[in-house]
Amino acid sequence: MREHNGPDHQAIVDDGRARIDWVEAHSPVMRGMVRETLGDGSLKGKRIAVVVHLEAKTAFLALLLAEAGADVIAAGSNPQTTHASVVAALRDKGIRVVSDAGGDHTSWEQELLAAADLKPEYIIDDGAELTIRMGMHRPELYKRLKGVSEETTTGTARLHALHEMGKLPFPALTANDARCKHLFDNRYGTGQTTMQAVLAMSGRKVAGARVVVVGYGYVGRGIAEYAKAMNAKVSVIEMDPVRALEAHMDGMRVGTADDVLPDAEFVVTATGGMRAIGAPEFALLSHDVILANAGHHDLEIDVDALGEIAKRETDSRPGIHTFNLDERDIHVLSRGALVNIAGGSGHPVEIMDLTFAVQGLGAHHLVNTPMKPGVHILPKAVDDSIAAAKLNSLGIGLTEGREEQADDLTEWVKGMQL
Amino acid sequence: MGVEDGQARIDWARRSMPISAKAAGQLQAEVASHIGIAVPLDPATASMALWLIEAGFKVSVLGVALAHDTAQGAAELLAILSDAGANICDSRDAFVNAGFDIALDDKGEDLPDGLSRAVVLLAHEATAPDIPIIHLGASSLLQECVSKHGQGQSCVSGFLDITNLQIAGSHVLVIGYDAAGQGIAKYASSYGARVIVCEQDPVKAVKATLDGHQVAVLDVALPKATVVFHALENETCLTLPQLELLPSGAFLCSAGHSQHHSLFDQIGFEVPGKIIRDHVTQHELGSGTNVKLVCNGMPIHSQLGKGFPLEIADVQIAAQLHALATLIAPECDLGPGLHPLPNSIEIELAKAMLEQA
Ligand SMILES: NC(=O)c1ccc[n+]([C@@H]2O[C@H](COP(=O)([O-])OP(=O)(O)OC[C@H]3O[C@@H](n4cnc5c(N)ncnc54)[C@H](O)[C@@H]3O)[C@@H](O)[C@H]2O)c1
Repeated sequence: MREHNGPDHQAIVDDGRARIDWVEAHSPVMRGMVRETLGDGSLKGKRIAVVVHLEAKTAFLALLLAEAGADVIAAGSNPQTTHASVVAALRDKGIRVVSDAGGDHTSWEQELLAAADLKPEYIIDDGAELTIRMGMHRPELYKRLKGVSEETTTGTARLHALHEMGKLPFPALTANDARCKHLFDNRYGTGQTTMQAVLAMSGRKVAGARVVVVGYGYVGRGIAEYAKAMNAKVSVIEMDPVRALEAHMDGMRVGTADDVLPDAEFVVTATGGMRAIGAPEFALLSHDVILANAGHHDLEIDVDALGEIAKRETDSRPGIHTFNLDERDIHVLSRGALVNIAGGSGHPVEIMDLTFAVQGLGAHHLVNTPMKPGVHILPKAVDDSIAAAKLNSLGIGLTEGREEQADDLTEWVKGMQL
Repeated sequence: MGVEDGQARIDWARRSMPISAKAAGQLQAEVASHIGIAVPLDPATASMALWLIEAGFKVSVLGVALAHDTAQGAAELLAILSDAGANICDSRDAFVNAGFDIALDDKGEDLPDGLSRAVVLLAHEATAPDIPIIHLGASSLLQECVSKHGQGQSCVSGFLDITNLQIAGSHVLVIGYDAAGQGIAKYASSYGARVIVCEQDPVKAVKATLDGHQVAVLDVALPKATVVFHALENETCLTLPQLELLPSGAFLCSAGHSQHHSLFDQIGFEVPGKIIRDHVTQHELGSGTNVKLVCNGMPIHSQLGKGFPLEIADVQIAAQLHALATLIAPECDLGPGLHPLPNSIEIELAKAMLEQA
C-alpha cells in the first residue's frame, strides 16, 4: 500500500481508486480489446485532452490512454459532475487534471482554458465544449489541433456548423454517429438512468404516473420506453412527423403541449435544443408537476423565464427547486441540468464501456489515419468490432451467412436483355 | 439545520399524501387514547405520527431499529416528533412499558400486556391474539400497492442506484413469487432483465410463466444468475454451498418484509466480508469464487433512507388510520383475533386512488 500521500489524503485516493476498479471490473470491452488496441505504441507521447464528466468511468478511459503512453490532460465537461476522490486518484497516477470538484461556471471556464493552455493535440470532447472555447479564446492553439472525437448529439451538430462555416481546420470524428454509441448510450443508458434519477430524487411512484416526454429521438424514446415498461402512462410531444408516428406506433399518446401538459405529473425534455418548455408551456402546467431535463442544454427547461414569473423560489429537497406561481408549485430537478448526470450517477458502467470504446478507438483512429479536415464517422469495421467484443465477453455467438442465403440478384441482372 | 431538513422531508412527503391527510382529518380521539407506534420510521410515517398527535392522541414511538431512514435522518424525524409531544422510546423495553393501550405495529411480535386493540402491518398468520387486531398484510389492495409495486420499484431501482450498472440482458433470479417477488420480477424485466423465478408452489409458478418469466429450479437457475433477489418472507432456502453455483461476482439482494432477519445471518456467512463500495460487501467462497451481498442482506428499500414511493406510503398510512378509526369507534364489535382490513375501507381507499389516477 502506498503511503506517500499521508493518511487523510490517501483515504480519498483509495476511495477514487475503488470507484475506478469497480468500473474496470464491469467494462469487459475497455479492459480487453480496447486496452490491447490502444497499447500498440502509436499513442506514445501524444497529448490527449479528455473533457467528459469527470467521474470514475471517464477516469478509466483516461487511465487506459495514459497506460498506452499518451500524455493525458483531464477536465470535466460540467462543473457539477466532477468527483473529488476520482480527481485525487487520477492525480495520484500522475495524470494532469485541471478540474476540481465543487466548482461553478466561472471556475469551469478557467479550467477549460487551463486545459487549452496545456496544448493538447487531440481532444476527446463532450458537447464540443473545449473545442469551441479553443476556437474562440486560443485560435493559434486551435489551428494546431490534430483531431477531435466528440461524444454527443449536440456537440456533433456544433462541429457540423463549424465545418459549414469553414472554421474546422482539423478532422473531427463524431462518436455519437457510431451505432455502438447512440443506439445504446442515448437510448438505454439515458432512458434507464433518467428514470432512476427522477424517481430517486422525487421519491414518487412510477406505476400509473402520467409522464410526458418532449422529443422522441434516441434519448426521448429510451426514457419513454423505460417509463412505459414500469407502467407509466406516457405521452410524447414531437415536431418531426416521422418520429411522432413512431411514438404513436410504440403505444405512446402523442399530442401537442396543449393536449398533454395540463395533466402531466412528470415532464422530461430530450430535444437537444433550447426552451422546449418555456413561457407558453409553463401556463399549461398543473400544481406539483415535476420537470426534468435529459438533453445537453441546461435551458431545455427555460428556468430563467420560470424564475422571472415565480412569486417565490425554494429548495424543497436537495436537487429539487420549487417555483411558486400563485396557485401552482412547479418543481425543477437539478435546476434543469442533465438530470441523470447532475442528479444521479450517470450512465451505467456497461454503457460507458461501449461509448468510451468508441471514443478511445476514435482517438486511436485519428492518430493513425490521415484524414482531411471535416466531420468524419468512425469506420463501420471499428464500430462492429466493439459490439463483437461485448458479445464475446457475454459468450454470445453469431451466425455467419452462407453463400446460398444471399439474394440471387446478380444472376437476374446477368440475364437482363438491356 | 437537521430538524429543518427533517421538516422539509415531511413537507415534501405530504405533497403526495392526500388520501392519508383526509383520513387523518376525520380521526377523532374521543377518549384520551395512548397509541404506541412501532413501524419503520421515514418522512411518511413520521407524518402519520404528527397527524395522530394533532388528532388528540397520546403517542409513544419506538425510536430504534425500525428505520427505513439513515441514522441521521431518523434522528431528525424523532426530534420533530419529540418537539410535537411524542414520547420517544429508545429501547424496545422502554416502548413495551410505555403504557399505551392501542398499538400500530410492524410485525405484532411481542406486543405489551394491557393492550386493548392493535393494527398490525404484517402479522404472522398463526398469531392467536387475545385482543382484536386488524391485520393489513392480508389486504389485496395493500399487497398490490405496497408489497408488489412499492418494493418492486424501490428495491430494483435501489439496486441500480447502488451499483451504477445495467441489468438489461442479464439473468436476474427471483426466489419466491409472492407479491414481493412479483414486484421485483416486474421491475427487473422493465429494466430489461431476463427474469428467472424459483417458486415451490406450482400455482404461483404458473403465474410467473404467464407473466412472461422463465421458471426453473435453483440448481438450474443459480449458474446463470448475475443478480439474485431473495423474496421469501421467512427462512431462506439458500445455503453457502449453493452460492458456489453462482457465477463469480454475482450480486445477492433481499426484498420482502423480513426487516429483522438479514440474509447474511440466515445464510450463515462465516466472516464479515469486505466492503468494496457503499452498500456492497464481497464474500469469498470456498470454491475461490465470490458473491457480493447488497445492503448486508437487508431488504434494499429499507436501507437507502427513502422508504416506499410516497403515493404507496400514502395508501398504506391511510389504511392504518382507517383501521385505527374502526377499532376505536364506539360501535366497534370486533372480538379477539386477527381481522382483515374491512372490505368497505379497501373499497374507499381504492376509489380515492382512482381519483388521483
Ligand atoms: N442525458 C444524457 O446522458 C444524454 C445522453 C445522450 C445524449 N444526450 C443529449 O440529449 C439530447 C437529445 O439527443 P438525441 O440523440 O435523442 O437527439 P435526436 O436529434 O435524435 O432527437 C431529438 C428529437 O427532439 C425533437 N424536438 C426538437 N425540438 C423539439 C421541441 N421543441 N419540441 C418537441 N420535440 C422537439 C426532434 O424532432 C427530435 O426527434 C441531445 O442534447 C443530446 O446531446 C443526453
